Amino acid sequence: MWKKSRTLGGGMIPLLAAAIAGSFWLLLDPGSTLAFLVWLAAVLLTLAWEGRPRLRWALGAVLLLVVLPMAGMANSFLLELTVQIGIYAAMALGLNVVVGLAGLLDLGYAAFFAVGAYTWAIFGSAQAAAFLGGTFPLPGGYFYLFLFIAVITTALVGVLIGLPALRLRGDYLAIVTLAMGEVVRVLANNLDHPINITNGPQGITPIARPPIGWFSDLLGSVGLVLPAYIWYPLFFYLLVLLLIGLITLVNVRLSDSPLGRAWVAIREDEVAARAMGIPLLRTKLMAFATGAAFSGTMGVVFAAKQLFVSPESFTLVQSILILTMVILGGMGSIRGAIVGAALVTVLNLQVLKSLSEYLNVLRQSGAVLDLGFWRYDLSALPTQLEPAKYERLVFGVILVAMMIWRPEGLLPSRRASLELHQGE
Amino acid sequence: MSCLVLADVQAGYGPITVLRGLSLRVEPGEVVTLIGANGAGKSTTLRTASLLLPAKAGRIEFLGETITRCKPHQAVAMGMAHVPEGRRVFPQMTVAENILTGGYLVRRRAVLRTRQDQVLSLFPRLGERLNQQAATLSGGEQQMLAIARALMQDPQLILMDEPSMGLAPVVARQIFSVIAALKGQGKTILLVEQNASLALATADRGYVLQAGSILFEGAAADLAGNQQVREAYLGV
Repeated sequence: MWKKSRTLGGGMIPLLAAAIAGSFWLLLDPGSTLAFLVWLAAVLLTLAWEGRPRLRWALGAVLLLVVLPMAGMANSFLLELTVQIGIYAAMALGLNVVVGLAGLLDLGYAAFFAVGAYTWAIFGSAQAAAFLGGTFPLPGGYFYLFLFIAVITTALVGVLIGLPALRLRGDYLAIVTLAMGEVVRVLANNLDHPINITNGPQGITPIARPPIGWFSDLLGSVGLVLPAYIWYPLFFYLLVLLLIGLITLVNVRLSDSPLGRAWVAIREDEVAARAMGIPLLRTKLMAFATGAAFSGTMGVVFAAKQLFVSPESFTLVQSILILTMVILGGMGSIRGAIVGAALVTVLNLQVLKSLSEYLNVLRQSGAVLDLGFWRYDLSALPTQLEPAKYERLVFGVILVAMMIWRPEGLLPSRRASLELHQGE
Repeated sequence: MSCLVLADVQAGYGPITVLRGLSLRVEPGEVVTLIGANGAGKSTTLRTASLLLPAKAGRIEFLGETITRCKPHQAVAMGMAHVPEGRRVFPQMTVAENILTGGYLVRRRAVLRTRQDQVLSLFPRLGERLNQQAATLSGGEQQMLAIARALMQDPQLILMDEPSMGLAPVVARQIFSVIAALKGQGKTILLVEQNASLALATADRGYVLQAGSILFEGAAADLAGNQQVREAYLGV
């Protein structure tokens, strides 16, 4: 009944090969983009693989908890990159609840990320003193508390935005959420007067980081003496892994709960859902608030990691990017959201950039391509060719291709894959 | 105390009024059918009774309480189940998930499980297809699923909209034998049906609906024998 061939039921050998090759390569040459991509492919394959749960967990743990941190010692950019992937993955998981499960097209999702980020940015910097007086920033230890406070504030904002917006359906909901997302960004941009709450377009900096003395002590006590510059990247890396684990757990529990089924029911048929006794607005609000809360927590992490937030980070493009991740991975699919986030982020931050750099190297080499009948001076390569300059085109092409050949996403949810491949 | 009372109800869609002062009553344990031509307002009556469509005027009473201004989920919580027209099962969900969603307001797992067993004993065919996706069921199976889903609430009243629609005659008779079984269990049912002869054979009482109000009512046997009804709706 299930189509095993569409998932990765077999495939243990390629998986192990990728894992071993990627790990050794990455450890030997931590600066190599290709090595990182092979490592990442191994992680994603582990996630997608459907056999032998114990082996899968062990493999995932080695790849994520041993190989990457070790490679990260040599090249802390790797930690930076994976934290970025993780933040996006968590947000994709949140948006997956809203769009994938409940079928509510939210084009302003970055707004919740912004609310979370500003929640900590304002109180974790001197900014709060500008309108509250008193002594700010709060000590960095409050960071941990704010991870939870952000859950509450963003869920509230989700309800506030949802109350008017969720009375609409389909395209109208998409348009209103898009507008609401922009409203939040514009508010952040303009709330520097008459009362200075967000410091306007300059943004807020410096933002307190959590004290991690306990973390380096912990590392020391298990015999890991690491240089100080690696503590924070490693701490954020592990924190993000932990949060993704938690968020995934909540997601899994939710999608098999009465509430999760109610979300799917609303997506499938609103009238029938109402006839089953599902309160429409309340259930939709729950989806909005849940998605918002995930995003908000990651906003706090983002603010602390970047030490700086400004309205620039929360544009419509961000919302679209996260939506792309969900669609690429497969709407309603938990593993899909993570895979989609990883692929889009890596493409965005790593692959396109590397290709552009490679093009630059070619240009500066001054080499001349000579085919006898045709000569081309590589230093004349136009800068317009740099892939980083047309990343949106690349994403557009990927999305169109997905819609044609694999509309259910890379790792479809069980429900969607059945629906879209009935004829086969 | 009547199970369901509609008193002088008006309802419609936007500027269009469909129900023009409709009154009817369903007593506990009764199977009542609404017959009438296309566009007479049969489905609208059910949608208004289950509050999916807010009434513009008039009063709706369920189990002695006025619920005219309530929300549909409140009516469901009080024990009203609606099997909507066209079945409307959740296509991407499995049969089991559909059934569980029908019990959305039932919070206790143990109760859910016993209800599920009861419902499946009524529809053994669904029990064989629990993990199958609802969209892949046949029309008759989907109709059974739609009824099964509604029964999960252990309702006081079941509103059924065109259960035989688009089904082969054999399958339609199967569905009606289930309705007869439910009647045997003492369930109260308000049934809308195109196939008036099947409906009148199962029901205790019937209302004939024309242009949004009741033309006349009577015992099902009397209506089946009534010359006017026979000509207009039974095709005899």
